[in-house]
Amino acid sequence: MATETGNIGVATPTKQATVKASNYLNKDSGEAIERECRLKLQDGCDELVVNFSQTELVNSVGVSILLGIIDSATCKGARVVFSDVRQDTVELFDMLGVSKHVVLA
Amino acid sequence: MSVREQELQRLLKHAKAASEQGGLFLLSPPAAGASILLLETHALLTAEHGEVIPIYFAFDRRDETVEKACFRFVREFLSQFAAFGRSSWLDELAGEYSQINADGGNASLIKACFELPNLAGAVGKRCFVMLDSMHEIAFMRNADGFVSQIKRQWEDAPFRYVFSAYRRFFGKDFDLPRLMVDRLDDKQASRIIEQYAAKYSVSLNDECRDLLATQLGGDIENIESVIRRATAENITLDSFSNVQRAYAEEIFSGGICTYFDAVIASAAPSARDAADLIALLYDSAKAKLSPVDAWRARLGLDEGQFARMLNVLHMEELIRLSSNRVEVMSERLAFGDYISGRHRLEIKRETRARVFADELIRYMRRAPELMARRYRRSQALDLKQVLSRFDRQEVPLAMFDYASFKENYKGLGTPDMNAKLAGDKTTLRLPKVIFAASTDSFYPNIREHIDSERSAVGVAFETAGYKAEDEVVWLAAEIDSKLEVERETAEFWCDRLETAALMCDFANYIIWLIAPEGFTADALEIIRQRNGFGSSRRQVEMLQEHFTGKVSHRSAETETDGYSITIPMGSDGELIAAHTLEDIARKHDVGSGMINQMKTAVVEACINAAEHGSSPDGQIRLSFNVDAERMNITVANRGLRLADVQKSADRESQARRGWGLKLMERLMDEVRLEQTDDGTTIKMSKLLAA
Repeated sequence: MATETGNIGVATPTKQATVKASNYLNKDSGEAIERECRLKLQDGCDELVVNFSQTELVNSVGVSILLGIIDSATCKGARVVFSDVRQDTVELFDMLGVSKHVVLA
Repeated sequence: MSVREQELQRLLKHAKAASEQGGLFLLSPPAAGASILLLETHALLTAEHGEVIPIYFAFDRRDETVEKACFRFVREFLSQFAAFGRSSWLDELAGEYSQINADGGNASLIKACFELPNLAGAVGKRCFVMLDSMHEIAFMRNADGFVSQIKRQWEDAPFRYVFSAYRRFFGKDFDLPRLMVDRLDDKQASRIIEQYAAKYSVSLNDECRDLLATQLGGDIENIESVIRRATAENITLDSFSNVQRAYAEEIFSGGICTYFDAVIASAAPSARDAADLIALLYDSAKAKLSPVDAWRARLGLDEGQFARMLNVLHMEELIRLSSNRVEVMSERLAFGDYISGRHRLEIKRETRARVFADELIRYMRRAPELMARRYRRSQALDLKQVLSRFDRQEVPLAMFDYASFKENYKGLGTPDMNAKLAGDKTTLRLPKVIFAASTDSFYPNIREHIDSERSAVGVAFETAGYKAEDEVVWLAAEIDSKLEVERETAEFWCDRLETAALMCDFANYIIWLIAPEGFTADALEIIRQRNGFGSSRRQVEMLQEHFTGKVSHRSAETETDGYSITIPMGSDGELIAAHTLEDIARKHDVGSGMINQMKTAVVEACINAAEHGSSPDGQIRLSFNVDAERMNITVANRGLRLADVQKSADRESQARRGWGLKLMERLMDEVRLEQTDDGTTIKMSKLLAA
């Protein structure tokens, strides 16, 4: 897969990986996602997509883990996308300042 | 059922054993309930009315002389024996002993009086004699050799007996089998408090029961004194203020006061010496360790008086004597409170009302701190036991090294984790720990930084040869943090443990720090440089599971009642609470948006309870109430108070955690943290018309 990035308009290959969040994002399921993401980043992935289509509820511990994932990805130059997020979860991400660090798709 | 069922059964077995001969030493700390245990044994054997005739006799310093103690023993023996049936033999014996006197000196008097069980044996009567409180003999005049003589006289006697005394009383000359009774643990103390509350018809709730158990450290006699006081003053033990009121009354004028007055009077018989001793104990409580010579110089007693004073306080376990140093035992809180009160009244000459009020306020302020310490203690990993189990086992390095754990195990489910651990070839050979104790027993100053139960020292050998060069000391500490511990904190704790090692002359040592969420890479680097390991709590739990073969988990019971539910902490119990809330709200036609906001708020409240509560029962109680205008939610738990926890978590609130309360406030229209004696209660409301 290829996409256009940056301001200089050069096409670079993007290695995307999708990780699915469970119905309740808490410490345990958050750590499982964190592990998945770490492995994907080690594999050279530069776009992480976390899919929230199954996620009904997110707690603050889960959010803090997501912020850790965003930090790790940023350090490695990767982008994080949160997809299929329910409206009330979007509101929670807004409240806790997560939304400004990720692309919500 | 006795709170000391195991010891009771051991005594009954000893009393009824087929072999007719045999003595037993029952050794216990003061006020640990040894007398109650013997009286229970006596009561059970009496109720059985079987072959064994129980005789209970307690020595008492008020007898003052050996003669009085001997005469009282004879009276007690004959009357208790008679309760099992009169006979002409007994009547003759009673007649003979009514003529007994001390004209032949102590030795012949002791011989005659303590011959009674032998005489009973000679006519086929099987006695079981319990001599209680033998330490009291130390306070009698001309009593040297009293205990030894009884022991010699009964050595081959045809009956069974028990000598009971404080554990610091008996010397090395006695070689009978020993039954050691320790202070009641929290659970036993709670049971006995409930029993006393029922006996004296005092209303008592769980929180107050636990405060009493914690404050009085399983001291049975003092516990009974406070509950008796509550009955006398018509005080219900259902709030901390009431408990402390009854306790204060006891410290200033009740049974606790009388008990410690008697100890001080025994240690320092003259009023002037007693006042000097009170002042010295008051000052020494702050100083931790003082040289014995400093005490001697300050009190100005002659050698005999000084030795007696130290002996009394040491035997009563109010001071600890070691390496020519004295330490006032701060764990005896009631004694510290008694000394503080008496010092202000007698030495500073303050008014009684003022002192009483101040001290009562101090007890009230202390109550939540005591409970917090109890809860932290109950949540501690028991590092002493973990170290004791090292036993030269080979374990995966990932059980100690957080970096390795994070890389390879964190985020895995338990089955995957176990399977991977079983095949992990990178291992660590642990040493054989020959002695493990809390760090503060080696280095008392560490108490300024950490609770006794959360740090331990293990003296160990790398190889089975036990050579000096193989000796290694592990110093472990469990530290608090909601996030991975950072470099600065790791450095602080390495410094503390290194200081302990230095002060204890440990040449070769290993530092082991444990934090709930492990350590950052920088922090781990620091720990490695200081020759240590940094582990997460999960790793230590894995290690415990590896040692014991048991999976650690919390037990919890749930029960429901209408719109009130109780959920277990952990195991996603908060999800059940959120779904319950959703069902109730939908029934009342609350909109989806509001429901989702309330669900998140409830989840956060439950997480806070589980994370901060160190709850003794592992339960969260929720109630939901809906009317036309609002939905009210209450989330309550026992354990640490959130308000107290927040004070120490300020730094973390700047980071990525500690959002719970703020989030609840954003999602709900009203959030109130209720003032409670114990635990946390959060009340939240959502306006439905909004």
